[in-house]
This record gives sequence, C-alpha cells and structure tokens, in this order.
Amino acid sequence: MALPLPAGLTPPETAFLCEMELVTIIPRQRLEKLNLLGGPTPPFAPPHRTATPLWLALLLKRQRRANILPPPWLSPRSLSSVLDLEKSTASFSPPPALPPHTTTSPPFLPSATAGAPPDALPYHWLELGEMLLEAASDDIPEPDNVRRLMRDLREVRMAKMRAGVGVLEGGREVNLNGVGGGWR
Amino acid sequence: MDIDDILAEVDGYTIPQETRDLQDLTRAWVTERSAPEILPWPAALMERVLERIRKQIELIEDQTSTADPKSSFKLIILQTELERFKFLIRSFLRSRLAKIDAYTLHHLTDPPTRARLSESEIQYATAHSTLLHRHYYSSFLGQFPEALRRLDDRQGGVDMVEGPDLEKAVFVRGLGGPGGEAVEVEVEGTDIGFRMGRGDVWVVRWGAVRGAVGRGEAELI
Repeated sequence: MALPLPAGLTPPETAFLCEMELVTIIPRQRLEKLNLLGGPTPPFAPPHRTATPLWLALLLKRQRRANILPPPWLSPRSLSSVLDLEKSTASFSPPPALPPHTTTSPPFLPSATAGAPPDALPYHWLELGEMLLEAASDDIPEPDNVRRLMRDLREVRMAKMRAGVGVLEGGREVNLNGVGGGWR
Repeated sequence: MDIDDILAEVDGYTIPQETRDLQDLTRAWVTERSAPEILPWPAALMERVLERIRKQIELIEDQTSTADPKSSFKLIILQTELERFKFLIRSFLRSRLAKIDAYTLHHLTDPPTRARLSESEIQYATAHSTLLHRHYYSSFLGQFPEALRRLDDRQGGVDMVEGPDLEKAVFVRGLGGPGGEAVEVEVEGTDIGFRMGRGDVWVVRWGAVRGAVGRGEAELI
C-alpha cells in the first residue's frame, strides 16, 4: 500500500503537476459555471477567451469543444531569441518574475496563458510545450519550427546541466534559477 | 487567518477557499514526495478536502441516476477532476505510509516526529511494529538471552532505532519572507549561509531548509 517510488517526483507526476497550469482557451460552445473541487470554473461563452487548467483545456480540445491559445513564449520568434540568449551565456535564461504579495507558485501562476510574458520560459515550459504540440498542434503557428527550437533549447540546457553537476561535489548549495521541472 | 488572507485582501482580490486548498494540497504532496522525513499532518486541510470530495461523489451519483444526456459532458468534467483529486490524496497518503513503513519505530518513539502523524497513521504504525515485533520474537528473538531481545536499544552510544537521512539533497524554490524579501538560510552547526530570494531555485541539503519550508518561506519542487 505504501508508495514504492523513490523520493522526488517522477516524470508522470511532473506531467500531472503541469496539467494544473492555466492556459487560455477559446470555447466553441457554451458551458455554464461548474463547481469543481478546486474552485468554480468560469462560464464559457464563445468567443470570449477563458483561462482554464491544462487538463480541462486538453479534454475540451480532444472533444473539439474549444481551441487552445498557445502562450506567447511558445512561438518560433520567442524561442529562438531565448535560444540565442542561452547560447551566449553559461547560465540559464531567467524565469518569469513571480508576482509580488502572494505565495502562489507554479503550477498555479498564469505563466502559460495568452497574457504571459513572451520572453521568459516558465517552470513547466518543456512539458507544457510538448503536451500542447501533441494535442493541439493545429492551434500553434509553425508547429514544426516550434518543435525543432524546443529540441535545440533542451539540448543546450541539458549540456549546461551536465556541466553543472560537478559543482554538487563541493557539498555546498547550488543555484538553479530558471531551470524547468523536467530536469531532475 | 494567516498572512495570505491578509495580503489577498490588500490586493483587493481573493482566491476562493477551494482553489487555495488545491494549491496547499498540491504543495503538501510535492513536499511529502520530495522530503526525506515525514511532514506535519495537515488535519484541517484534509478534513475540508475529504468532505468536499464526499459531497462531489454524492452529487455525481445523484446526477448519473437522472441520466440527462445534455449534462453528461459536465459529468465527465466533474469525474475527471474528482479522479485527479483522488490521485493527489492517494499519492500523498501512500508516500507518508512509505516513510512510516521504513522507519516505524522512529516515528513512534521520537516525540516531534510522532506529533506529525495523524491518528490513523499512529494506529497503523503501532499495529505494524507490533506485528513485526511478534514475528521477530517467535522466529528468533525468543531464543536470545533476555538482555538482547530489545529492538530499540540505545545503550552503548549506538541507537538501534533508525531515522530518515535528513542530509539528503532536495530541490527547493524560495518564496520569500512575509514581505516577499529574500531570506537568510543558515546551515545548522556550520557558518555556511546563503540568501534565498523569491523564485530562486536551489539544490541544498534538506536539513538546511526544513525550517524555511516549515515557515512557508520556501517550497520543495
């Protein structure tokens, strides 16, 4: 009955966490407010945009009841500018700033909605990007370019991670600002 | 009322209690999955969430019986969410059980650790250790000299009761102090310290940040 997994989240658990991220959708049909366990959903009234958790957005998308509006950072322009930045420094590109006066943190920040900053990769960028590319590639402009840039970014950051592991042997604390959730 | 409530009011917008509970439960789950030791049982939070789940199940059962085809999609959404909540709770409880299983006697005999367990967890741990003790006794302990039969001998400077390794490395994100400022983290017993700002991600030993995590100045990720 006890959990047979080692400490630390496994990739499916990280994906589960990522599915709580808020994304913007454009509903295709009306749906009244629903009282979910995690708080009420906003009523859907096309063509008004609404922010919902990713799991709900994917469910609606699969049933063709909504379109997903990809976050601004999931575009070839933003990704290639982040990639250029990553290539030019030894550190990771900075994550989006946490809003002041709240202890809320990913996955409950609006860092993947249509209003998210275009130049900063949020904590679950890789998982979120891959899930959206898989389930909603027709909603993403230039999906093949996006996929290629994400792969390049992943390579660059992986190389940095590998280089950084050596620091751990010093027994001191290590800073990993900007690193996403799929990296442990 | 804690600091979040006050700040939320200042911000002029409030997050519904249900949403806040989901956030707290998620954080508790991630922390429990990542931290080497067991964390305080969130009694009030669990009570609220379990009560809500019970009501939601009732509601779903009720609506399924009326079987209106129009509302079936709504039911699918409700059920999907319910399953997600159930997964969260189950994984949370199971990872606590895994820790209790691994160090049962430690969880029963170390007062600060024991205080972090819920009532049913204490019951479980007691039953677990009684069974184990009885089994050991009948299979081999009974043949030993009386003085060597104990499983919790602390004499001779060696403690038989094993506890979790508090010096394991964890991933942690700084949440800032009450005003959102960076907090000082000092490693007990050394002169090593560092500043952890809001949103900073670090790899550190659990022992160094357990205080900060307990105060809500940092979270495990």
